[in-house]
Amino acid sequence: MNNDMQEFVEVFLEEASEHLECMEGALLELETTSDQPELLNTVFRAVHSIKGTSATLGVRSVAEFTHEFESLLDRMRDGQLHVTPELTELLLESVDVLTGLLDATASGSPEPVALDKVLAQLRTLNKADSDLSAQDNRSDINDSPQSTFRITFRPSRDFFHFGLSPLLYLRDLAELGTVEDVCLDSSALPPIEQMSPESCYLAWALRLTTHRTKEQILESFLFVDDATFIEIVPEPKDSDQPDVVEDSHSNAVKESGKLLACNASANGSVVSDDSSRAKATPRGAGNRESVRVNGERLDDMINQIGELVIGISMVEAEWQSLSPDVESSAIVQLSKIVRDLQEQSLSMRMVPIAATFQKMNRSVRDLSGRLSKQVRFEVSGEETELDKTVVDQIGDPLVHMIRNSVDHGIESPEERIAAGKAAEGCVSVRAYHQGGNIYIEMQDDGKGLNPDSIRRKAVDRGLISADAKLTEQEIYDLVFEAGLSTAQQVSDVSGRGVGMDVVRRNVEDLKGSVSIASTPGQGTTVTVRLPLTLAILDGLLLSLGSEVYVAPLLSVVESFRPQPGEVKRLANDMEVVQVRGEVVPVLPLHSVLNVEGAVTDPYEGLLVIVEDHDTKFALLVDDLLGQQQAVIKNLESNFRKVPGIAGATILGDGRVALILDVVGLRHLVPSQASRTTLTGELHDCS
Amino acid sequence: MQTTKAALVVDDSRSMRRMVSAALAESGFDIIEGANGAEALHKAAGRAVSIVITDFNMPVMNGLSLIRELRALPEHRFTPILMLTTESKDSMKAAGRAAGATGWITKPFKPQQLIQVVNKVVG
Repeated sequence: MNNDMQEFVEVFLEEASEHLECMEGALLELETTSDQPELLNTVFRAVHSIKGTSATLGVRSVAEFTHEFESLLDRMRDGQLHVTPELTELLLESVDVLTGLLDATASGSPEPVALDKVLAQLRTLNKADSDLSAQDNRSDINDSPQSTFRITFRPSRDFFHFGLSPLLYLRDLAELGTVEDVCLDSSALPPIEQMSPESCYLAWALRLTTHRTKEQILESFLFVDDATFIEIVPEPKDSDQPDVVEDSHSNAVKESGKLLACNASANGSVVSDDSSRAKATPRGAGNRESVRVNGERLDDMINQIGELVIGISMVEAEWQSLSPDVESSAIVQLSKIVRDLQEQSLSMRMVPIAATFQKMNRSVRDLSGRLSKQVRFEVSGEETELDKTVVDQIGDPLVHMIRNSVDHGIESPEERIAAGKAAEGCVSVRAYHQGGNIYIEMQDDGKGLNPDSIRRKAVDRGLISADAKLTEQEIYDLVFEAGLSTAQQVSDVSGRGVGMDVVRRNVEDLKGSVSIASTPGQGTTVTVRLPLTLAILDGLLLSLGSEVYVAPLLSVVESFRPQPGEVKRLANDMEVVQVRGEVVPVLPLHSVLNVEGAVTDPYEGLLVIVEDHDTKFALLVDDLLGQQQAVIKNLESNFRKVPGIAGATILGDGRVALILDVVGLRHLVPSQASRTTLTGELHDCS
Repeated sequence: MQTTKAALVVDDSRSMRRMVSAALAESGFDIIEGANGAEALHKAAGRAVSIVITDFNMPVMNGLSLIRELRALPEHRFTPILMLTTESKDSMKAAGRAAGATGWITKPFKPQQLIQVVNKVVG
């Protein structure tokens, strides 16, 4: 049994974590929603479910805690307590404690420190009326001497309609002792034409000799309905004729206490209350039926499907070479199916970003309270889907940036009023799709970045020279440089050594980019761009000598063969090309990648302008071969990390091609700051 | 003709469902599971079931509605239906009763207790 239980506990823990997420989301909405009852129901249902299962599985700490938690929610549901910020806070803390308790159950870690405090608070509010395990202590076998009872049992007319059967009760009575003198009372049977076969007209009288007490006999009538008549009369030891009709059914029930709880009559208000609850199906909970799959297995499958795509490309290529003029409809159809399959398999990795937004919401709430700021948090596009890996890796940086906004961006209410703004600040985050990318935009209406202060710091840290000429945008971009924290003082909130540079690195690791825009006094907007998926990329095939390389199509701006005189060589031996007045450095790929036999003269090859992070540079290649969706194979895990190379893929003809890493290549060309000097140099030589 | 006994176990909690099913399977029931009232109703319609054990609070269709719907089906007018409930409140039981429930089991319970109660209502 123990092993079985362990299995149940694991499923329970999994389930509970889903409930916790759903609870937190609902609680955060609680203060602002117009539909509190529904949200309370959602939370209640989640707590309730955890309580029921944990108690059954014997996870005592969780069961006890959820019992108090649930009671409080129940009182809120009934309107005995109203939603206040303090109460919401307590509920959120309770969720935290519950999370801690579940973690403790899962890993054997110590119980959360806040447990006693929160539990005490809950108990105070609930006036402690716990009867969780009241049922366990009933004495089973009674050693009292045998006695005889006369029992009358008259089931209600509707007895069968509750799924009850008189026969079973008689069977159970027989198990309690010796049954004698069973009399069937059929006097209530109507004439056959009036008789309903679904009604019970019969009654029984019998004598039972048993060790049990009257209460215990009554217990065996568990579940009988209200209209059923039961009479249990002890037979006087010496005489065999009872002369006292001792109790009616309702009396007996009162005596038997809670174990035989069939005394309540159905009253209308209860029924309607419950049917209204049935309508209020919670938004987040339960409805999504999902199957949990080990991530590795899913990735394996996606990978295999990727191979399948390559396989079909190879078949296509072979068919083309065999019969260039005839199209095979079978191959066309197969290819379409395979590509659809691939699309579907990739979509399985997609999850909505809502959970991350929820974390942000919680963060804003906690932080604004701690810093005594008034902050409203607005969210849109939370249903936007992202690759699970992306969501996992981007979650913390996003939360970090939101904390930054609240900590450094939003002013105190006094400052805001003095600046002529509403006392309540606003932090918003929205997610949306655009051209193969996901954008996540975080906006605050705080005081904005202070370019002078950033500049001063950058000079102090030696990031720029004191006389460097930078545009405002270039100054703002400095916040992403390592070692530049803009906070006037390092607070315990954001100043934990995780700076915007880490944020940028995380985003770039995901092949995304981050940019910042700010207007002093009006606020700051940080925009994160992320690719839809990491597993596949639209590539432009480039030929270089005898080799083929893949450039991410999203980074490619344009490509052209330069006209004579357009490419200029600078004093430092570096080549640049002027594109519509803009000076773009040329990166001779063949020399960077050490490819032999490639075109070295830009006028014989092609220049492919790629862009990363507003920095453009031109790749010198031999030729363009076309476009292809490339399934990215990790190079690091199979070989080692190579600067400028993001990975490898397999081409339609089975050859391996390396995928260029535009971000990595960028570091091989001169930086933006030195480009301004380049421009000057160029003007000098032209 | 001897037919096997089938039990319909309805709960939105997977772990609860498994737990109840395991106990019932051990005492010889074939198990049919439903994650909510609607699913259970669909599975129960048109077939004989020896016992239904249903949770109270569930999404889509709750236990109470399930009981009403089952009772409206000719094949389940007399099927024993037990509610699994954490609420020991009498009002809940009364509501269940009014809908046609046979009885209830209060969570937490031990597997043996469950079987005891099931045996009480299944012939």
